[in-house]
Amino acid sequence: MSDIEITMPQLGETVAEGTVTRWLVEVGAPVTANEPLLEVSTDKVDTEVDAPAGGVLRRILVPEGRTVPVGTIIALVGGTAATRHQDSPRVRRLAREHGVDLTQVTRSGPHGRATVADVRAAARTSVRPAVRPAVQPAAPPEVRPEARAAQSQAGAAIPRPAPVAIPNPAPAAISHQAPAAPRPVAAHPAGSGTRGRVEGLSRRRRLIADRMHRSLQESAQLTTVIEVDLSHVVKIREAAKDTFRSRYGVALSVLPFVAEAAVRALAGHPVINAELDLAAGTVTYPAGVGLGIAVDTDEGLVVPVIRDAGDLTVGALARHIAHLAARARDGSATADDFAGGTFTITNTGSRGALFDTPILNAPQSAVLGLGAVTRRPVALRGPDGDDLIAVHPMAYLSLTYDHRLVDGADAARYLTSVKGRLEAPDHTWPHSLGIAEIAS
Amino acid sequence: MTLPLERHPYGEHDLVLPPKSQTTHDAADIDRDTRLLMYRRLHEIRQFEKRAYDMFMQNLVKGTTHLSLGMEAVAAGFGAAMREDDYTFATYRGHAHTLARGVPMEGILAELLGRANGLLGGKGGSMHLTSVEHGMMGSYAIIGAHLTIANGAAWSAQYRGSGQVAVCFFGDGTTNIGAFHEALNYAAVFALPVVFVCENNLYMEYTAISDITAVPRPAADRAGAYGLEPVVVDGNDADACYLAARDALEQARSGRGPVLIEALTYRHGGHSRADPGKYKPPGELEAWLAHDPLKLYRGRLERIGVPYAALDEIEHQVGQAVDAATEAAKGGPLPDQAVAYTDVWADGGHSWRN
Amino acid sequence: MAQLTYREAVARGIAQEMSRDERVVLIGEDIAGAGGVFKTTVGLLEQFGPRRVIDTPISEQAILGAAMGAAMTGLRPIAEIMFSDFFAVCWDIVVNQMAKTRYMTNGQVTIPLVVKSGNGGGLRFGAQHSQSIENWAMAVPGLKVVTPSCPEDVVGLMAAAVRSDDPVLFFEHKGLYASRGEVPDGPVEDVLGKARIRRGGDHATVAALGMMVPRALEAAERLAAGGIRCEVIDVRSLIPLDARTILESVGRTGRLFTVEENPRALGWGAELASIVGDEAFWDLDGPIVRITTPHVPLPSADSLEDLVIPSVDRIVAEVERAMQA
Repeated sequence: MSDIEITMPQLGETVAEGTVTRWLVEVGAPVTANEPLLEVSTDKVDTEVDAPAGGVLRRILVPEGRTVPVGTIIALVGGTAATRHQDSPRVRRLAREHGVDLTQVTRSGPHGRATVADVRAAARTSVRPAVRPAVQPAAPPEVRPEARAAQSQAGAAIPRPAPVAIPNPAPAAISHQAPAAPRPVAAHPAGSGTRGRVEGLSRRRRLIADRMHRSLQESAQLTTVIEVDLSHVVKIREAAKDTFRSRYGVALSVLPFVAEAAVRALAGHPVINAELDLAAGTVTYPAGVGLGIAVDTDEGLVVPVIRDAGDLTVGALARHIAHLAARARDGSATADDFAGGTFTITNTGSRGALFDTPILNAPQSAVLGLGAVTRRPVALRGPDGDDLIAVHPMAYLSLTYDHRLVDGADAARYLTSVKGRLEAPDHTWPHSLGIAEIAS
Repeated sequence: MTLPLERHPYGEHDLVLPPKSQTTHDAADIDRDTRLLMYRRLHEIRQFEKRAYDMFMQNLVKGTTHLSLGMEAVAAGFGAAMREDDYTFATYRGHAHTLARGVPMEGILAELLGRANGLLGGKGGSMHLTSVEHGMMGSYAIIGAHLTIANGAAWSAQYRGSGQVAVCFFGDGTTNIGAFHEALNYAAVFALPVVFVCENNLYMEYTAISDITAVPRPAADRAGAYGLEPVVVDGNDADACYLAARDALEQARSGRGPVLIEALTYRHGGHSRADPGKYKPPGELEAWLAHDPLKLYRGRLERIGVPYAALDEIEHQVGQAVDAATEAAKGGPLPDQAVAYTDVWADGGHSWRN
Repeated sequence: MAQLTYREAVARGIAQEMSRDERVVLIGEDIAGAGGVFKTTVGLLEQFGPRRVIDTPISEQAILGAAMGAAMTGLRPIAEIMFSDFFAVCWDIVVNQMAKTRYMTNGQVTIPLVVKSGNGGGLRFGAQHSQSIENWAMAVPGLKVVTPSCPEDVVGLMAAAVRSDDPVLFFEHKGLYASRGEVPDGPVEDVLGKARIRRGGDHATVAALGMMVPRALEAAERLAAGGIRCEVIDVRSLIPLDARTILESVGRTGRLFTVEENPRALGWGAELASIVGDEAFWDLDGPIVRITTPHVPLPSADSLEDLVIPSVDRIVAEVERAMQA
């Protein structure tokens, strides 16, 4: 078997070069397919590069700290045949649903595959394995077989971005499996094994900490909260979710409805979708909406971006959100997936929180939080003017905004627009979700 | 009513000239109202087809089309002889037979333009004109098939005892396809009330029928194989067609089985829009133009005393109707996109799975 | 409850509908006096007379054209094409005429007819009298396509086909004519577009059609002894297709096998695989496996025909191989 050339990966369309920050395997040491080989950083993203096949690391051609153009051969791997774990879509889906880390399950299937029973067993024990911080090369190598098999056959190095740009310390992930049982948050080591120990911060955690702190330091953040009645949304979702799921393989949550209403409302409130540069004395109004979606991953919070989200339908947003979240979680997202955000939504409620005060994803001027949808009594005015109490699905929307640029009244007006669309939904919603298709 | 065919050698195929006489049926037993109806139909078809041709040239009509210019008398004659509830089965060259059943021009023209007010809502086009309410059971664009389908309609009429007759028009080229022979035998065996009318315009598409057919009369010479009488009529004389139709319909309706008629006629233009008709030998078109169905019939009506003004008035009225239909067709909206998905199934929809 | 053969069930189904509806008539080669070359119309001439049960010439185009024209004008004919291979000589009437005329005329014409035909292999008739041609029909918008696998379904689906207002191609499997099964007394009714789960199981879904259904069931029995529990679905109706039942089953089992008698390329199982790959991808626990006749014409020698048409042994082997891969 001839040597496989490891090259500096293309970490995004706009990335031309990368820096080798750390080799995780010594020359002469065995490498396993799909296990990290080195860490690379660019101006946009930090990532690990996996070995495309198993064998031995024969030569390192680019030492740590050196920056080279994309495509440069940085190492040679040779030797033994590759061993790969190809888990089935069903296994991967179940693992996602149950929050099971496939790298940690017992693999009882043929050729080292995990079976459905393996995942169920892992879910029952509900032990959520600690994630090895990327800065600790001494820790056992992490195996992440998902979504790699096809790529790795090409012999090219596989990027695993650990993107940054993280606004919100709250666990704000997208629930794309409904109804979502709250699952343990894995951004930090879990279990009793960490008690009484001191650990180094992961690169991801360090970046999150830095970004959060700077965001709060550099802008004047204020949060406005409004309550919305999601009766219509819940009704349409109920009617559409089975069809939608069977057609697209994606569960339909409330989030895409809120995202659609939020994005549509931006058109009438440009200051909410803007960037202030006080030093330059300018406000930038982007041409479109790059909708950041805060996603909770094993390694911490990330914010992939749906580009040109301004005119996407609810159905399209639901699919984009689900796919982006899945990519962010399984590590297949690229730097491009995290670029171009102009406004961010965080699903605070997916873990049960009623509302919080999100931190701005600087330099964006606003971030919208969706609280948990809860059924609660609301006072209504009956048709004959009587006061009535009814139980409706309600949620809080919290908008944190940069008060240097956005006034409280702007924020309230914007939130009122969002509320209006959610409470009197557009007829295009059922259509985009495939439940009122013509002549089907 | 059998006419002798004049055959002259010419190039690779024989020149076939029209019958010399135009007065043969001057004294036929056909009432004046029927004749005036046929005159109106002749003009409707002629002026409609010319308008359709013009609109092609303006690129308003897409796709292809097959005109009956020069062949109007067959449709006019048979249409006038048929009972209101009789069935017409036509080919892709079916504008004439659709008009001959009294289908309004607007729907036909709008269909050619692909508009929502088209006879088929824009889903069938020139080659599939159908109007069940007028007994126009369809225009079929695969050679031969509709002879067998006409048999089915005739069988149904026979089974139900309705007294209806199916009349099936087709071209000379059809006589060489298997379905023609299957259909004739089948109709004869079961004595079905069906009249098969071969419009022999001398050319199948580009090739002279005489060059590639084993017998000189493509339909009539096959009749004997199925126990039928060979019948050839002057297909440019509306009265000849009407008389042949009246006899044939009576025979079929009375339970004496099918009739096969060969109507000798001539296509003034090409096979389709794409065909300039260069393969026609010199002198042939001129000879047939001198035997033009409209000219011939106007001459007869004048001879039997119909005032010029009455004939002019019919032509004028038809011209106005064609103009009105043109405007209505052009003004029609495009089909709603939803109709692309309707009526695959009898439930109105197109769903093939759950 | 009576024990009927599959071929007796054909006649029973037709008789049931002819008794119910005067508009139902039957035509075909040798179907009246002879009772059909496969004896599927025995007794119908005697029961309904020569006006409604009619022997035709060997003219497949004329037969189907007559059925279509009659259907357009008030009758509900059943026509027989003796061997489904013979559809090739009248395919124009089926594809260009029956299937399209309603659409082309914007719904002016309704064509309620059934074409019944002896289909499938296993009788050593060779390549021109053994084909399974449901796929030809499935590829044409406007045709409904059913293939019953047991006597009760023969009666019920025949009733549903006759009552359908659309053209239905009704494929009887020649290899099943002699098979027996219970048929309830009295009128039997059924619906088009509904698959049947013949055997429950949670390890793998096996979708089969026609003669492949009993083979799949026998294979499932053997696989169960080895610990693989198969859910066997009798597809029954290709158009309309009951994709839902299959998707739901795959949702439970995570595996799909199709057992198809037709030659490989573009068989109905390919469409099923496409649907399941598209809509149940995240349910799949392994590749979709199609068990089909290879892409060859059918040979006549019994040893060769048995080699190429999916057998119980081959189904068992393919399922075991895939489940262990």
